[in-house]
Amino acid sequence: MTVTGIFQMIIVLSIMVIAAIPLSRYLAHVFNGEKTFFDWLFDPVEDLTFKFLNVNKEEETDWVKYLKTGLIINFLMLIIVYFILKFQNYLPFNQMHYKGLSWDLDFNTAISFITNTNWQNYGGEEALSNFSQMALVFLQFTSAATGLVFAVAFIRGLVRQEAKHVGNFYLDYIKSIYRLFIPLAVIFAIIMLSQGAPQTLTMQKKVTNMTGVKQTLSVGPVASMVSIENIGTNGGGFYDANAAQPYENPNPFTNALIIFMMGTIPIALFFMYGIMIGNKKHAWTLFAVAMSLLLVCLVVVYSQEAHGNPFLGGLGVNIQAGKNNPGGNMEGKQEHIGIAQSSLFAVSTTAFTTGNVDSAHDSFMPLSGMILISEMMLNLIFGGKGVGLLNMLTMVIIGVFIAGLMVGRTPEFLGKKIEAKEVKLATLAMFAHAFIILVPFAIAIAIPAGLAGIFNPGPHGLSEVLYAYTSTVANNGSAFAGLNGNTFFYNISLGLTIFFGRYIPIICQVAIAGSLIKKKSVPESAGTFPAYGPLFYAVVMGTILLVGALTFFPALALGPVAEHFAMVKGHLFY
Amino acid sequence: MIKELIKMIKLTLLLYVICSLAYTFFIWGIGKIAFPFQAGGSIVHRNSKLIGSFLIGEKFISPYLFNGRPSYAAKGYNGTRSSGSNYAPTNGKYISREKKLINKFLEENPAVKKGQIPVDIITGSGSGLGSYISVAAALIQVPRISLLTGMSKSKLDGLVKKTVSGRQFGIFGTPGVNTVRLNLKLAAMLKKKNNKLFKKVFRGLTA
Repeated sequence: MTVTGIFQMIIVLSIMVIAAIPLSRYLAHVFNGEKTFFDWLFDPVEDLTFKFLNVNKEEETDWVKYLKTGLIINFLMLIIVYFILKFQNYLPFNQMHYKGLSWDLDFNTAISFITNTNWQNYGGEEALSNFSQMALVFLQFTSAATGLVFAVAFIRGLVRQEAKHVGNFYLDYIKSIYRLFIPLAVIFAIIMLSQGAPQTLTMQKKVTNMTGVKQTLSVGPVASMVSIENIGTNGGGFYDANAAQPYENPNPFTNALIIFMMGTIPIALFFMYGIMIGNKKHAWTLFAVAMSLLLVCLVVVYSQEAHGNPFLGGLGVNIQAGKNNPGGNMEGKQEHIGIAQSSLFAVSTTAFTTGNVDSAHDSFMPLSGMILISEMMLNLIFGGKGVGLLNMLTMVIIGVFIAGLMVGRTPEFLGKKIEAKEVKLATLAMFAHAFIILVPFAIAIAIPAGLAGIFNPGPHGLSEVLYAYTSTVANNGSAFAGLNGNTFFYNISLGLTIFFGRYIPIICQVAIAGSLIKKKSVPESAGTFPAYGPLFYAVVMGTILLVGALTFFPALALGPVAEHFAMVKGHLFY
Repeated sequence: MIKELIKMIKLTLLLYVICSLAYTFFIWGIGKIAFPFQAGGSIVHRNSKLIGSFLIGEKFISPYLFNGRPSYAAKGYNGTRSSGSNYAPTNGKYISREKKLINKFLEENPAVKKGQIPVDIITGSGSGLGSYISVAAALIQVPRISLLTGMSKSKLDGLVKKTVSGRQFGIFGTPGVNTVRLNLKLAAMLKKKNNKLFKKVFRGLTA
């Protein structure tokens, strides 16, 4: 680890938190329907949109209708994209004449993008036309908005008292796309353009290198995709290697910028939540929980990667960082971006459930790999659009419930009584997450079709499969990319885990909101358990660690932990 | 219900047109007007021929050139097949492969001792298309290139040092040397020194 490396991390993380504060205020205004500085621009466009849709924006609905509208719209979008990918050979911007995707790969890809997962069993530049890539960009906007508005509905469930309606789905959805995602996507796409991300309608350019070797370069509408894939914490890049491909991430500055794009909105959502419920101390405590988890992960990954691969050290390679030598574990990392930025990127992409990668996670050291998998297992270190916040609040409800049991009081949270119904739903959301990861994982490593996809031998192979199911259920989308996922078995099973991993928790969480919204708020008394401060921090952190450790530790012990100890003993796998 | 469904279909189509088509073409237009070079892939010309991009690495394996990192993009630096090696650090096959790469490197660069090999020059980048190598990996190749081309070591050292890209804004990333840039400069130097050898090594630059 170097001082300059640590300094880079501190700079990027600080700027994210600082930028998140004004952004959170803006978002709170937007979703509370209050005045903002940009109303003169957006109000007329929105009015026009609602006129076209024939939607009355004043009309609010209960949680069931809100959820139903969202899910049906998700389904419609899924269908459009499924057919675009299926019939891309009949559609424009396909100079390479790529064929339509096979139905299983298409199923996997369409589900993956509508759920904000962006797991990719295809190599972008080898399989998709530019028109298909643009169709995925459409889902990158809408899936981010879907997660966000459900989180907003949940927050309203906490805020409103003895009410029924959680909001107007159309209004929240359109607002989040018009007032947040499109403006930011345009700004960052232009910055990425200026730094070297291509934006063409042609797919390839042929050149003859200085040595006389012929080379074909894949180009396309990259800049527009890079920006929304990160702002929307989607993570599905234009290229097979995602942000490790220099066109998608031309230099160390854009690398830092991408991390900034991924993280700022999820952090801002924590603060927005604080503003909307009128309890900033509570939000800051949850922020502290998530941030401390992020920092611990970062320390482990950075120290492991900077230490490097002892086997290469033994062969006479200089793995010590020096003035001119990067040192560390450079396999699968871009030289100019370096160990520190790559570590921060990997920890961020799994924390913010983006899934974009700037280095090959499969080649990370065993314990780094364990951390990346763990972050997705928890899926609440700020998390993706809205979903991270929802998962954190689910954990809070369980924590408050356990704390309530210990002191023998009816647990309450922000003045609302937490009763059997909410706890059941929260537990269901939490266990569904673990169940959908671990059961298919166990099946995959027990059958030949699952084992066939494994690339690296030994416990690392197990980690590849575990990573795949964790990443899909957490709707992350990054991979231990050695695993060959483009087989019938993986396309279908991962498609299903993505689907259930996304919608079961979300349905439970919105249902909790629907239940809480009917309750009235009890005024705080001396006996109220404060939802902020060190004690609350300890309760939430304890719940997260106990639940996380108990559920997932056995699987991690068999994969990355076993691999680490084998490596320390000098054992290689064949 | 039907009425409701029509609203949803309208919303879906509207957002498709805005987020997929309008957005992409808008950025495309801005690229055309404001950043034509970058938007086209930052592709450079020599003798009015397209020779590659500074952003994308090339297959520099000749001992006369500054070599890049091993590449796992298909058969090496294939611009349409970005991929890392995905080898796990404990994969026995990987370590055997590394042994071969290390021996080859030591053979080609007899001045280098064991324990000095910069880690990046024998490991693959994340995409197999990275154009950068570390400063140490560039400097360590100077004795070999000097011997083969007859250019002085101090001149070549100077060439490397002039081409170093430091941390961006003094903060971000790791210092490195862009092999496309470096080898282009090497070409110019070699052309003056030994035109015959230049024509042999840099076939793509001879008009």
